[in-house]
Amino acid sequence: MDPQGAAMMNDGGVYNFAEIWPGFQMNTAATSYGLDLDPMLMDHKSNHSPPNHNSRKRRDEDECAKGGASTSNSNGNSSNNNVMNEGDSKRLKAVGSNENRENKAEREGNSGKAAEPPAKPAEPPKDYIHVRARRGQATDSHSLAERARREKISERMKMLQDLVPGCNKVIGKALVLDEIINYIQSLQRQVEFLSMKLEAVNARADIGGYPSKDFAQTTFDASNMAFGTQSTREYGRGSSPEWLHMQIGSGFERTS
Amino acid sequence: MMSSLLSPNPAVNSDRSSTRRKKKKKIQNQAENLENNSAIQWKSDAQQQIYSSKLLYALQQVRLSSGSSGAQASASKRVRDAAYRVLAATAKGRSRWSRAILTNRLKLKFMKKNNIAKRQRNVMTVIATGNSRVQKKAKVNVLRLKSKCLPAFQRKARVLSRLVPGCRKQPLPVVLEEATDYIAALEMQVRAMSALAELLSVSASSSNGSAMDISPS
Repeated sequence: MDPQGAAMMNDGGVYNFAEIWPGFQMNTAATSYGLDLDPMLMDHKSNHSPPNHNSRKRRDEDECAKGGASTSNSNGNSSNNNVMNEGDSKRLKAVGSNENRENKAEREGNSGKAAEPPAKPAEPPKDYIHVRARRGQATDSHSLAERARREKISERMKMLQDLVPGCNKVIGKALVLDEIINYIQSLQRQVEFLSMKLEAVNARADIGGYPSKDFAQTTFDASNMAFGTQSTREYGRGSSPEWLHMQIGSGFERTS
Repeated sequence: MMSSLLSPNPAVNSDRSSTRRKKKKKIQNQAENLENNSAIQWKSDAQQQIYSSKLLYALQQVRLSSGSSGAQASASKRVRDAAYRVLAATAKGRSRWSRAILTNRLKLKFMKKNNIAKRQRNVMTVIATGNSRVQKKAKVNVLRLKSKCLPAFQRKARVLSRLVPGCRKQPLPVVLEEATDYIAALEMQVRAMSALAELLSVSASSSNGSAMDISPS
């Protein structure tokens, strides 16, 4: 290394990798880890990024922090892009990239000298319009979670509508919930009434009227094995299954 | 050199994400299968048969335990509690409402013990101070005041969560899922209890009738 180059480095000039290695390419991972090694290369790369609102916003913030001459140009372009239509924005972007290239060439020429401090720091654009995501394109984690929750609720409401009779005619979630509440309450009242009825029958019947303890125990134990493979079927209100007659009927027969 | 150092390892991340996705899918599939099975399960003949036999045994136990003592209301309450307990046992504690019903008995016992202890303390304070009146703080029911401000849907969701046992503090999707299972179980319970009541009443009346026919002669 020659002493002139060493003096340049000691003076505090901008040391550019592109001058030494013409084929040097900046790694994208370096930028993601916050290693901004060369501001000119970064500017050049940021101009070719896809036209995304968030990326544009981030670029504006980064360039405001750097405060170079090229930053004011790109800031102006980005603020104009938000206001104008898409065709104009593309045209302006191309112009902006050309201007940035010229600025870069000037800087490379003056890289031997000490970097001049910027005259005034560029202010962030005040007329930045936040555009809401289109319908069905909300990709934020919160909105996705909320959407999943809503879908789950609607799915379970449909299941409940299938279970509760006369609930398909009702429109609106609140009214559907009302129907479900009424149905559960009616079922609970039915259970209460039937328990009173069973208690009355229970009081009337003698202790000998019930099947013996051993019999009840056997039915209780064998129930899981014996009736596992039966087909499912609906019942009518008045129908009483035959197996119940077999269980109870034997107990109530009079033994003389 | 630099790029190799800075670039993250993509293979490891992809493996992790894929395993997580697989786990999530498995959990979702299991939940869906459980929901479908529970809906079919309560409608089945076998399930009703199991419940009826268990309820019959529980009624016998209630009759033996109660004997002659106890009022009409308490006896019917005992039968109802037995019916609910048998239903929860038939559900095998797979759902929240069944676990809540099964643990409710223990909670009641614990509450009784606490109440007895509190009464004893109150008696001791009365003896010590000599004041028969124990001052009580006026309780303002904040929940009622809050519930007026809530929108209709949320208010009804809260009512539903109170109706389904063990779902008071659960989120709405959980409450709805439990409600589907609970409704199916209640329908089966009503069917089984009505069939059992009919049969018991018929058999009791027939046995009484036959006894009446024989006794005069």
